[in-house]
Amino acid sequence: MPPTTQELSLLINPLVPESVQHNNRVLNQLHSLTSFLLGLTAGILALQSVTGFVFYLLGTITVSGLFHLVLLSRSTGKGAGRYFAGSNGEIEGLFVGKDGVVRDAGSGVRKGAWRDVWFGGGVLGEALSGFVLGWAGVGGVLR
Amino acid sequence: MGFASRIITIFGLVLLAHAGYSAHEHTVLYSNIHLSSASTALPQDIVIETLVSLVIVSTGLVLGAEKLKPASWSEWAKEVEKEGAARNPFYRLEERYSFWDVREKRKEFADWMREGPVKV
Repeated sequence: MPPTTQELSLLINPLVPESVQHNNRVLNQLHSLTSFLLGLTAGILALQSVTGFVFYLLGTITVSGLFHLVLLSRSTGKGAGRYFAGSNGEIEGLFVGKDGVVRDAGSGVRKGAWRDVWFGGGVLGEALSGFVLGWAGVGGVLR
Repeated sequence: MGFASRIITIFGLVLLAHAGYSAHEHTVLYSNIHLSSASTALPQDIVIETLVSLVIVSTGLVLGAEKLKPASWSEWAKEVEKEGAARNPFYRLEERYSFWDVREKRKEFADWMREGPVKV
């Protein structure tokens, strides 16, 4: 069986697990901090039920957007694919001919890494619980 | 975290705290009035202050986040090479003694044992 493009990507352009872990940790910290702040704001604004969760969604989208902008400017336009593994580390633009010869080794940028920035970092897990904590806490104190 | 981003974050936090205190004062002041439900809504300026402070704090946090490391081995190795021995995990392998003539050294040692102690 010929190797899949994902296996080939990892062979041609291996990942550094330490760096990937470090980047994920940075993103995690950022999201837990900002989501707690979002919770405080939601509490101050006295949002209730669905409105609060919509606020959380919009807030995380804003934070992820900011993060992505900074990331784009720091990586000279290469974007998230330079720092995050994406879908199992597959490289964008890797082209293998029918005879199994690699015709194009790709750009070295990982495919689908934007998903790590926008959905990763515990946005629907730890960060959400931090948000609810701040929301309920401030809401209870102020009212 | 850079100095500028820290300043931005702290400024945003102060704004947020101010907005929170204002909201608290507002609820305290209006808690005795049972006239209309419209008056208990937060004033516009507090809402705006809260949202602006949120944007400022998150900008500061994003700018102050730790620097990301390149995920690909090739780029990571480039950075490590530039920064030198301190961060290079393979430094130990790169800086080693070359081949060493054991017989020659033994012979030297034997000669020294034969002659050295006498000389001193």
